[in-house]
Amino acid sequence: MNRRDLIRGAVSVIPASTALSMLSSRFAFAQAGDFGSDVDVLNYALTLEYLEAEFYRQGNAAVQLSGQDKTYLDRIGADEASHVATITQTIQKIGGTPVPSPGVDFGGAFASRESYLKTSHTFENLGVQAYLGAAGSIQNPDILQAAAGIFGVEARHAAIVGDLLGLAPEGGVYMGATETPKSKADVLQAAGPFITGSGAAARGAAATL
Amino acid sequence: MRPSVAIPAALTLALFVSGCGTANAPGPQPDVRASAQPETEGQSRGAPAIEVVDTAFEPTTITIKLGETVRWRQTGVQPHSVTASDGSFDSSPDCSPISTQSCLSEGGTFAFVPARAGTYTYYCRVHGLPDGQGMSGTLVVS
Repeated sequence: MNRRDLIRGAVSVIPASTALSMLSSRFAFAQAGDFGSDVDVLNYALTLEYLEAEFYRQGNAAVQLSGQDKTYLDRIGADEASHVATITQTIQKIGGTPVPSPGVDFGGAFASRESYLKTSHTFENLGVQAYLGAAGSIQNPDILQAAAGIFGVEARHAAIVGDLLGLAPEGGVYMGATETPKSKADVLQAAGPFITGSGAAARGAAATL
Repeated sequence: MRPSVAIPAALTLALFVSGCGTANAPGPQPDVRASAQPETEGQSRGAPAIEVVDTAFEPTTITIKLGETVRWRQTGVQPHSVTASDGSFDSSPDCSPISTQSCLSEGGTFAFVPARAGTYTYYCRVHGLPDGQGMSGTLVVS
Protein backbone atom coordinates (compact mmCIF):
# COMPACT_ATOMS: atom_id res chain seq x y z
CA MET A 1 0.00 0.00 0.00
CA ASN A 2 1.45 3.34 -0.94
CA ARG A 3 0.88 6.75 0.62
CA ARG A 4 -1.88 7.63 -1.81
CA ASP A 5 -3.74 4.41 -1.01
CA LEU A 6 -3.44 5.13 2.65
CA ILE A 7 -4.78 8.64 2.32
CA ARG A 8 -7.63 7.55 0.12
CA GLY A 9 -8.44 4.62 2.33
CA ALA A 10 -8.06 1.35 0.51
CA VAL A 11 -11.31 -0.53 0.06
CA SER A 12 -11.51 -3.76 -1.85
CA VAL A 13 -13.68 -6.82 -2.28
CA ILE A 14 -12.02 -9.81 -0.70
CA PRO A 15 -12.79 -13.30 -2.00
CA ALA A 16 -14.20 -15.68 0.58
CA SER A 17 -11.18 -17.97 0.43
CA THR A 18 -8.85 -15.08 1.06
CA ALA A 19 -11.05 -13.78 3.83
CA LEU A 20 -10.92 -17.18 5.49
CA SER A 21 -7.18 -17.24 5.38
CA MET A 22 -7.06 -13.66 6.66
CA LEU A 23 -9.28 -14.64 9.51
CA SER A 24 -6.75 -17.15 10.69
CA SER A 25 -4.02 -14.55 10.61
CA ARG A 26 -6.19 -11.72 11.86
CA PHE A 27 -4.43 -11.53 15.16
CA ALA A 28 -1.10 -10.43 13.81
CA PHE A 29 0.84 -9.95 16.95
CA ALA A 30 4.55 -9.22 16.91
CA GLN A 31 6.64 -11.95 15.40
CA ALA A 32 9.50 -13.56 17.23
CA GLY A 33 12.54 -11.36 16.78
CA ASP A 34 10.59 -8.19 16.06
CA PHE A 35 11.73 -6.67 19.31
CA GLY A 36 14.83 -7.51 21.29
CA SER A 37 13.88 -5.52 24.36
CA ASP A 38 11.34 -3.16 25.85
CA VAL A 39 13.46 -0.29 24.56
CA ASP A 40 13.02 -1.65 21.05
CA VAL A 41 9.26 -1.70 21.48
CA LEU A 42 9.27 1.80 22.92
CA ASN A 43 11.42 3.17 20.11
CA TYR A 44 9.05 1.56 17.62
CA ALA A 45 6.16 3.31 19.35
CA LEU A 46 8.13 6.53 19.58
CA THR A 47 8.67 6.61 15.83
CA LEU A 48 4.96 6.23 15.24
CA GLU A 49 4.22 8.95 17.77
CA TYR A 50 6.74 11.25 16.07
CA LEU A 51 4.86 10.69 12.84
CA GLU A 52 1.51 11.44 14.42
CA ALA A 53 2.69 14.48 16.35
CA GLU A 54 4.28 15.99 13.27
CA PHE A 55 1.23 15.10 11.21
CA TYR A 56 -1.04 17.15 13.47
CA ARG A 57 1.49 19.94 13.88
CA GLN A 58 1.59 20.39 10.12
CA GLY A 59 -2.06 19.61 9.53
CA ASN A 60 -3.46 21.95 12.16
CA ALA A 61 -1.40 24.75 10.65
CA ALA A 62 -2.25 23.92 7.05
CA VAL A 63 -5.93 23.07 7.18
CA GLN A 64 -8.47 25.71 8.14
CA LEU A 65 -10.59 23.90 10.67
CA SER A 66 -13.39 25.32 12.76
CA GLY A 67 -15.81 24.33 15.47
CA GLN A 68 -15.59 20.80 16.76
CA ASP A 69 -13.06 19.86 14.09
CA LYS A 70 -10.62 22.43 15.40
CA THR A 71 -11.31 21.72 19.06
CA TYR A 72 -10.69 18.02 18.67
CA LEU A 73 -7.80 18.13 16.23
CA ASP A 74 -5.95 20.69 18.33
CA ARG A 75 -6.45 18.49 21.37
CA ILE A 76 -5.42 15.33 19.55
CA GLY A 77 -2.28 17.04 18.29
CA ALA A 78 -1.38 18.02 21.84
CA ASP A 79 -1.97 14.46 22.98
CA GLU A 80 0.38 13.09 20.35
CA ALA A 81 3.09 15.54 21.38
CA SER A 82 2.52 14.37 24.91
CA HIS A 83 2.90 10.76 23.81
CA VAL A 84 6.27 11.57 22.28
CA ALA A 85 7.33 13.03 25.59
CA THR A 86 5.95 10.16 27.65
CA ILE A 87 7.69 7.50 25.60
CA THR A 88 10.92 9.47 25.47
CA GLN A 89 10.86 9.86 29.24
CA THR A 90 10.13 6.17 29.66
CA ILE A 91 13.01 5.11 27.42
CA GLN A 92 15.38 7.37 29.30
CA LYS A 93 14.04 6.14 32.63
CA ILE A 94 14.99 2.56 31.81
CA GLY A 95 18.40 3.51 30.46
CA GLY A 96 17.68 3.42 26.74
CA THR A 97 18.34 5.94 24.01
CA PRO A 98 15.32 7.39 22.22
CA VAL A 99 15.51 7.32 18.45
CA PRO A 100 15.54 10.70 16.72
CA SER A 101 12.48 11.95 14.91
CA PRO A 102 12.29 10.89 11.28
CA GLY A 103 11.87 13.06 8.22
CA VAL A 104 8.26 12.96 7.04
CA ASP A 105 6.18 13.76 4.00
CA PHE A 106 2.41 13.58 4.23
CA GLY A 107 1.79 14.16 0.55
CA GLY A 108 -1.65 15.54 -0.19
CA ALA A 109 -3.10 14.80 3.22
CA PHE A 110 -3.67 18.46 3.99
CA ALA A 111 -5.40 19.32 0.73
CA SER A 112 -8.82 19.42 2.35
CA ARG A 113 -10.65 18.84 5.60
CA GLU A 114 -11.79 15.47 4.36
CA SER A 115 -8.34 14.24 3.34
CA TYR A 116 -6.88 15.50 6.61
CA LEU A 117 -9.46 13.74 8.72
CA LYS A 118 -9.31 10.56 6.64
CA THR A 119 -5.56 10.37 7.02
CA SER A 120 -5.91 11.14 10.70
CA HIS A 121 -8.41 8.32 11.06
CA THR A 122 -6.03 5.94 9.31
CA PHE A 123 -3.08 7.01 11.45
CA GLU A 124 -4.99 6.68 14.69
CA ASN A 125 -6.23 3.22 13.82
CA LEU A 126 -2.73 2.25 12.73
CA GLY A 127 -1.46 3.40 16.10
CA VAL A 128 -4.06 1.31 17.88
CA GLN A 129 -3.12 -1.75 15.87
CA ALA A 130 0.60 -1.17 16.31
CA TYR A 131 0.34 -0.87 20.10
CA LEU A 132 -1.83 -3.95 20.31
CA GLY A 133 0.46 -5.91 18.01
CA ALA A 134 3.51 -5.09 20.11
CA ALA A 135 1.88 -5.42 23.52
CA GLY A 136 2.78 -9.07 23.90
CA SER A 137 6.46 -8.28 23.47
CA ILE A 138 6.62 -5.90 26.43
CA GLN A 139 8.31 -7.52 29.41
CA ASN A 140 8.01 -4.83 32.08
CA PRO A 141 4.45 -4.61 33.42
CA ASP A 142 4.86 -0.92 34.27
CA ILE A 143 5.74 -0.22 30.65
CA LEU A 144 2.88 -2.37 29.47
CA GLN A 145 0.53 -0.33 31.63
CA ALA A 146 1.93 2.94 30.30
CA ALA A 147 1.59 1.66 26.73
CA ALA A 148 -1.96 0.55 27.39
CA GLY A 149 -2.74 4.06 28.57
CA ILE A 150 -1.60 5.46 25.24
CA PHE A 151 -3.29 2.67 23.27
CA GLY A 152 -6.64 3.64 24.78
CA VAL A 153 -6.22 7.27 23.87
CA GLU A 154 -5.33 6.40 20.28
CA ALA A 155 -8.51 4.37 20.06
CA ARG A 156 -10.55 7.29 21.36
CA HIS A 157 -8.89 9.59 18.88
CA ALA A 158 -9.82 7.22 16.07
CA ALA A 159 -13.42 7.17 17.27
CA ILE A 160 -13.63 10.94 17.52
CA VAL A 161 -12.24 11.46 14.04
CA GLY A 162 -14.46 8.71 12.67
CA ASP A 163 -17.42 10.53 14.12
CA LEU A 164 -16.28 13.87 12.69
CA LEU A 165 -16.13 12.15 9.30
CA GLY A 166 -19.66 10.89 9.74
CA LEU A 167 -18.60 7.27 9.41
CA ALA A 168 -20.78 4.33 10.35
CA PRO A 169 -20.66 3.40 14.02
CA GLU A 170 -19.13 -0.03 13.59
CA GLY A 171 -16.25 -0.22 11.17
CA GLY A 172 -15.89 3.54 11.19
CA VAL A 173 -16.25 5.18 14.56
CA TYR A 174 -15.10 2.00 16.23
CA MET A 175 -13.80 -1.20 14.77
CA GLY A 176 -15.99 -3.80 16.37
CA ALA A 177 -16.08 -5.59 19.68
CA THR A 178 -12.31 -6.02 19.76
CA GLU A 179 -9.39 -4.18 18.23
CA THR A 180 -7.25 -5.90 15.60
CA PRO A 181 -3.48 -5.94 16.07
CA LYS A 182 -0.98 -5.33 13.29
CA SER A 183 2.46 -6.88 13.06
CA LYS A 184 5.53 -4.72 12.90
CA ALA A 185 5.95 -5.62 9.23
CA ASP A 186 2.42 -4.49 8.40
CA VAL A 187 2.86 -1.27 10.31
CA LEU A 188 6.10 -0.67 8.45
CA GLN A 189 4.32 -1.15 5.17
CA ALA A 190 1.63 1.35 6.11
CA ALA A 191 3.80 4.01 7.75
CA GLY A 192 6.94 3.61 5.68
CA PRO A 193 5.77 5.78 2.76
CA PHE A 194 5.49 8.78 5.07
CA ILE A 195 9.07 8.53 6.27
CA THR A 196 11.47 10.41 4.08
CA GLY A 197 14.72 12.29 4.06
CA SER A 198 18.23 11.38 4.91
CA GLY A 199 20.54 11.85 7.80
CA ALA A 200 20.55 10.53 11.31
CA ALA A 201 16.88 11.10 11.99
CA ALA A 202 15.60 9.23 8.98
CA ARG A 203 18.17 6.48 9.40
CA GLY A 204 17.15 6.12 13.01
CA ALA A 205 13.52 5.81 12.07
CA ALA A 206 14.26 3.28 9.39
CA ALA A 207 16.33 1.25 11.78
CA THR A 208 13.56 1.38 14.33
CA LEU A 209 10.84 0.35 12.00
CA MET B 1 19.41 22.12 41.23
CA ARG B 2 16.63 20.47 43.18
CA PRO B 3 13.74 22.24 44.76
CA SER B 4 13.57 22.85 48.37
CA VAL B 5 10.44 21.89 50.03
CA ALA B 6 9.95 22.65 53.65
CA ILE B 7 7.50 20.02 54.79
CA PRO B 8 7.57 19.18 58.49
CA ALA B 9 8.09 15.53 59.33
CA ALA B 10 4.63 15.19 60.80
CA LEU B 11 3.12 16.64 57.70
CA THR B 12 5.20 14.37 55.53
CA LEU B 13 3.84 11.42 57.47
CA ALA B 14 0.33 12.73 57.10
CA LEU B 15 0.86 13.06 53.41
CA PHE B 16 2.13 9.51 53.23
CA VAL B 17 -0.86 8.24 55.12
CA SER B 18 -3.39 10.26 53.20
CA GLY B 19 -1.73 9.61 49.85
CA CYS B 20 -2.91 12.97 48.68
CA GLY B 21 -0.26 13.07 46.00
CA THR B 22 1.29 16.39 46.75
CA ALA B 23 4.94 16.88 45.90
CA ASN B 24 7.53 14.66 47.49
CA ALA B 25 10.00 16.26 49.82
CA PRO B 26 13.14 16.64 47.71
CA GLY B 27 16.54 18.04 48.56
CA PRO B 28 17.13 21.52 49.91
CA GLN B 29 16.76 24.69 47.91
CA PRO B 30 15.93 27.95 49.58
CA ASP B 31 13.68 29.54 47.01
CA VAL B 32 11.11 26.83 46.46
CA ARG B 33 8.16 25.84 48.61
CA ALA B 34 5.69 23.12 48.12
CA SER B 35 2.40 23.20 49.89
CA ALA B 36 1.27 20.03 51.52
CA GLN B 37 -2.44 20.46 51.01
CA PRO B 38 -4.55 22.16 48.41
CA GLU B 39 -4.32 25.81 49.32
CA THR B 40 -7.37 27.61 50.55
CA GLU B 41 -8.79 30.48 48.60
CA GLY B 42 -7.45 32.84 51.20
CA GLN B 43 -3.95 31.47 51.02
CA SER B 44 -3.70 31.74 47.28
CA ARG B 45 -5.69 34.96 46.84
CA GLY B 46 -3.73 37.39 44.72
CA ALA B 47 -0.90 34.98 44.02
CA PRO B 48 -0.20 34.26 40.37
CA ALA B 49 -1.55 30.78 39.75
CA ILE B 50 -1.16 28.21 37.04
CA GLU B 51 -3.62 25.40 36.59
CA VAL B 52 -2.23 21.94 35.88
CA VAL B 53 -4.78 20.23 33.66
CA ASP B 54 -4.71 17.08 31.53
CA THR B 55 -2.33 17.69 29.73
CA ALA B 56 -1.29 21.33 29.79
CA PHE B 57 -0.31 24.20 32.01
CA GLU B 58 -2.83 27.02 31.86
CA PRO B 59 -1.86 29.66 31.12
CA THR B 60 1.09 28.34 29.19
CA THR B 61 3.09 31.49 29.92
CA ILE B 62 2.84 33.59 33.04
CA THR B 63 4.77 36.67 34.13
CA ILE B 64 5.42 37.53 37.76
CA LYS B 65 7.57 40.04 39.57
CA LEU B 66 10.72 39.06 41.41
CA GLY B 67 9.77 38.29 44.98
CA GLU B 68 6.31 37.01 44.13
CA THR B 69 5.26 33.44 44.66
CA VAL B 70 3.89 31.49 41.75
CA ARG B 71 1.61 28.59 42.48
CA TRP B 72 0.55 25.59 40.47
CA ARG B 73 -2.66 23.83 41.33
CA GLN B 74 -3.56 20.52 39.75
CA THR B 75 -7.11 20.06 38.60
CA GLY B 76 -6.35 17.29 36.14
CA VAL B 77 -6.75 13.68 37.17
CA GLN B 78 -3.60 12.30 35.56
CA PRO B 79 -0.19 12.29 37.27
CA HIS B 80 1.91 15.36 36.53
CA SER B 81 4.94 17.26 37.72
CA VAL B 82 6.12 20.85 37.60
CA THR B 83 9.76 20.53 36.63
CA ALA B 84 12.10 23.31 35.56
CA SER B 85 14.11 22.49 32.45
CA ASP B 86 17.24 23.86 34.09
CA GLY B 87 16.60 22.10 37.40
CA SER B 88 15.68 25.28 39.29
CA PHE B 89 12.58 23.66 40.74
CA ASP B 90 10.83 20.32 40.66
CA SER B 91 7.63 19.35 42.38
CA SER B 92 8.27 15.64 41.94
CA PRO B 93 11.83 14.55 41.10
CA ASP B 94 10.99 10.85 41.11
CA CYS B 95 7.87 11.16 38.97
CA SER B 96 8.00 9.36 35.63
CA PRO B 97 5.59 7.68 33.22
CA ILE B 98 6.31 4.31 34.82
CA SER B 99 6.53 5.52 38.40
CA THR B 100 3.73 7.91 39.17
CA GLN B 101 3.35 7.50 42.92
CA SER B 102 5.34 10.62 43.67
CA CYS B 103 3.80 12.75 40.95
CA LEU B 104 1.36 15.54 41.67
CA SER B 105 -2.18 14.30 41.65
CA GLU B 106 -5.58 15.97 41.58
CA GLY B 107 -5.73 18.71 44.19
CA GLY B 108 -1.96 18.84 44.62
CA THR B 109 -0.22 22.17 44.68
CA PHE B 110 3.30 23.44 44.27
CA ALA B 111 4.79 26.85 44.88
CA PHE B 112 7.99 28.51 43.77
CA VAL B 113 9.58 31.78 44.76
CA PRO B 114 12.17 32.66 42.13
CA ALA B 115 15.48 33.95 43.40
CA ARG B 116 16.36 35.64 40.15
CA ALA B 117 14.69 37.40 37.27
CA GLY B 118 14.62 35.69 33.93
CA THR B 119 12.73 33.11 31.96
CA TYR B 120 12.18 29.62 33.31
CA THR B 121 10.85 26.91 31.07
CA TYR B 122 9.29 23.94 32.75
CA TYR B 123 7.57 20.71 31.84
CA CYS B 124 5.74 17.68 33.14
CA ARG B 125 7.89 14.60 33.71
CA VAL B 126 5.10 12.36 32.42
CA HIS B 127 3.77 14.30 29.45
CA GLY B 128 6.49 16.75 28.48
CA LEU B 129 10.18 17.15 27.75
CA PRO B 130 12.75 19.71 28.91
CA ASP B 131 13.03 21.09 25.39
CA GLY B 132 9.42 22.24 25.43
CA GLN B 133 7.79 19.33 23.63
CA GLY B 134 4.49 18.15 25.00
CA MET B 135 3.18 19.47 28.29
CA SER B 136 5.34 22.46 29.11
CA GLY B 137 5.15 26.07 30.16
CA THR B 138 7.11 29.26 30.64
CA LEU B 139 7.53 31.38 33.75
CA VAL B 140 8.82 34.89 33.16
CA VAL B 141 10.16 36.74 36.18
CA SER B 142 10.59 40.46 35.64
